[in-house]
Amino acid sequence: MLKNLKSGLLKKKTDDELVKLISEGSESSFQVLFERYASLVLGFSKKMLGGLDKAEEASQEVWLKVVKNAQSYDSRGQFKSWLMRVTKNHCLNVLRKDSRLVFTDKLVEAPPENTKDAEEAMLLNLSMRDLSEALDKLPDTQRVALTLLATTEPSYEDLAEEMGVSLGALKSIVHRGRKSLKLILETGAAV
Amino acid sequence: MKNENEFYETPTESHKKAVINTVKSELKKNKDSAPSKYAFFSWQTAAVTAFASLFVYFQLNNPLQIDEMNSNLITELASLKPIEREVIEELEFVEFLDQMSEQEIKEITL
Repeated sequence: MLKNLKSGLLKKKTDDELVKLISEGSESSFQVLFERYASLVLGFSKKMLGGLDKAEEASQEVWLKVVKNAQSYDSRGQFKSWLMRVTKNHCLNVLRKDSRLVFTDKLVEAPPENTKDAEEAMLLNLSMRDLSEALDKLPDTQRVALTLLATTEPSYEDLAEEMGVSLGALKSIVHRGRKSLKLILETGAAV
Repeated sequence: MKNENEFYETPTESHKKAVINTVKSELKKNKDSAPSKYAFFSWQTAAVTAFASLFVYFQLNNPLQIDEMNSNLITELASLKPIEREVIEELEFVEFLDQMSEQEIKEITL
């Protein structure tokens, strides 16, 4: 009963308050914060890494980083953004380590603007579930670029830097990704 | 609350347990390194304060210095001839009398 009461009180605390308690070693606070964001970290990691096993591994590492850095966490009510940044960077590091973000195309061309608009309009009309299933069938580089564009909405310049590719290459990756998505959604086939 | 622009995956019980087990040792480290709730009490500060208090006390009431003065006085008195010592003792008595009130002198002379 006392445990339930404690858990109930902790659930009312803000993310920053929970991180503060985690920095003092509170396991119950960690469990509450973990319950709050576990599915988000796992879902994002799965989309980035393209598999549940790797996503679970990444999720463990991310939560370990949260606890390790709890004492130095700068609380400004931005825990979720910080958590997602940690998750994104960790996933990008895993992809780089596994050499899965290699862009090998020799000819890099940016798509014509009217094509880009049509592709974006098509993606906007998709439900997240359809998009999620279709993204799983894309090659790593295209899936990562489109996942990051859909969730974190970075500028193309920032995303190109994060992925370690040129701006032209990124535009080409995104263009190909969107074309592939369209094909998958129309035919259901993997690219 | 779920956001429409995010991907979610419900974690399995085994994943939850794995994460909790992974972070346990790190939580313990946090607990050990967290500042104590009684952080305002510091042994170092207490030691410095005690030392400073003793220093001030000995500056005002230096028993070593008083002992040294007494010791010098005894040596000097011992080195005096008996007649000289008598004079000194009388002088001290006169000085003692000076410090007494007339009433007190009357009382001891009666």
